[in-house]
Amino acid sequence: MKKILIIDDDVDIIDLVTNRLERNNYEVIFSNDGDNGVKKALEQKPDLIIIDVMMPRLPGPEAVKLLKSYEGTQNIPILFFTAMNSYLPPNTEFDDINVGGQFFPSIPKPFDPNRLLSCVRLLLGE
Amino acid sequence: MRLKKEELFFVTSFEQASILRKYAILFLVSSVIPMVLLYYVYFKSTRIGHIAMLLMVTGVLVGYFSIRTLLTRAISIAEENRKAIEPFLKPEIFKELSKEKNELMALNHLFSAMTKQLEANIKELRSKNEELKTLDRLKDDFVNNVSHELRLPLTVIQESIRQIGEGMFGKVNDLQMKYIHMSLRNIDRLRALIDNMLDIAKIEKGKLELLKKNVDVSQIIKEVISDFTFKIEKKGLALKAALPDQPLWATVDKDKITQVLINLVGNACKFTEKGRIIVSACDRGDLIECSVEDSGIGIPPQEMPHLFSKFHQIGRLKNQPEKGTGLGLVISKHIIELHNGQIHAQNLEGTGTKFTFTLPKSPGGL
Repeated sequence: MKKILIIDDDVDIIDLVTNRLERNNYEVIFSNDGDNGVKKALEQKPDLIIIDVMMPRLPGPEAVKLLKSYEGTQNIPILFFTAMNSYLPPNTEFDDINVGGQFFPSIPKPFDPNRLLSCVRLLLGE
Repeated sequence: MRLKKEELFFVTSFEQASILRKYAILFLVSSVIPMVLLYYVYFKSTRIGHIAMLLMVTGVLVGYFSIRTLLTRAISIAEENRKAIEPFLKPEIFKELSKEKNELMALNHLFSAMTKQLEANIKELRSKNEELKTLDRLKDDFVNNVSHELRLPLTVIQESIRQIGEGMFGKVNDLQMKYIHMSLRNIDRLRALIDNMLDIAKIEKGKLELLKKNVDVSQIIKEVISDFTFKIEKKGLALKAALPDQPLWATVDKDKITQVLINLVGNACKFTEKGRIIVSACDRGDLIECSVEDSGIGIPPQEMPHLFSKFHQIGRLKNQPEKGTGLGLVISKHIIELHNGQIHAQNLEGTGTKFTFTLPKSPGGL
């Protein structure tokens, strides 16, 4: 069973996304902030990380920079999950988020569950 | 009143002569005193001394009187001249001289006061401008934050209800399902409102940017139609596309044009109870022309001029099933105009409405 790490400061969102993913046979672990999220990723080596953009202390893009700097986590695919539309460059085809020149796919909140699942499958190479 | 050059000459020559006459007496006194002193020191009681003294005194006196006479004559000539031009000169001319000086000083004073006022105004404007810029930034942040803060709870509500509706937490009966759908429909409305408000905020700030690519407009129409098919079939309407066989290439922002088409087809769907909706597109040389035609209730003529105005909604209709945000057409118009195209609406004969918009094929417009 593939393991997915959700990093989001909103526990309700974590709850709901966990429901969706578990029902589709994924193992879900989560963290409520960027710092712990990075720690958890290093410890547990998930197959995919779904991460919020706007988080107190360590915002999503900063956490991703960290994740990409560690050997243990740099190859884990990232999926951004954000309600902050203005953060996105206008009309990028896949709503990609640019972190230090590297582009990561994103799902806007409110989200379409089918789009979330198809994105997850795509990133996991299923 | 201004003095002419000649007038000025007469006035000044007269004044100078008067002054010189006053100095002539000074000349007399200042030349007699050294002569008397010279006489007492060197030539005292000699015959030559007496004669020389007499000659010198006579010379000085003759000199004084002749200068005086000359000056007096010059003054009288100047005075005559003045009198001769007096009819043209107006008596106030001498007052005018000092008056002009006063006027100049007053003007100078006024100018420096005005300059000071202007400087103060500019300073005030600058600080006001800074204030406005800060406010504008705050407003931007506020709009972004509000949209973020509105979207988050909406996401949670929508997803929770959706999961209940999907039976994730137990079987849902028909009545429960009815209200779940009602909730989801209204959540969608709220979401559209938030998105539209954000779009309007961007449009008003000139920040709605286009990402233009060469795309097939027919393809966009096909995609929009397939998105609507389910909704429209449920209503018992026919949704058709009338497209040419060849692709309609144009350099446009695909997402934005999709948004316009969704808006127009959505409106057509909203205001059409029975019949059909036809989305068509054709090649018009430099332009591509698209239209959305319905067999609905049409637009009341008095509403036509306000159709593309902000927050304007076709007056509350008795049987209007869905409400919009009143922003869809405003946003659509902006999007089309950003593409250098045009959009307009017309009522069809009999029944129905037709919205038509044009898009230049090349990126730079026509």
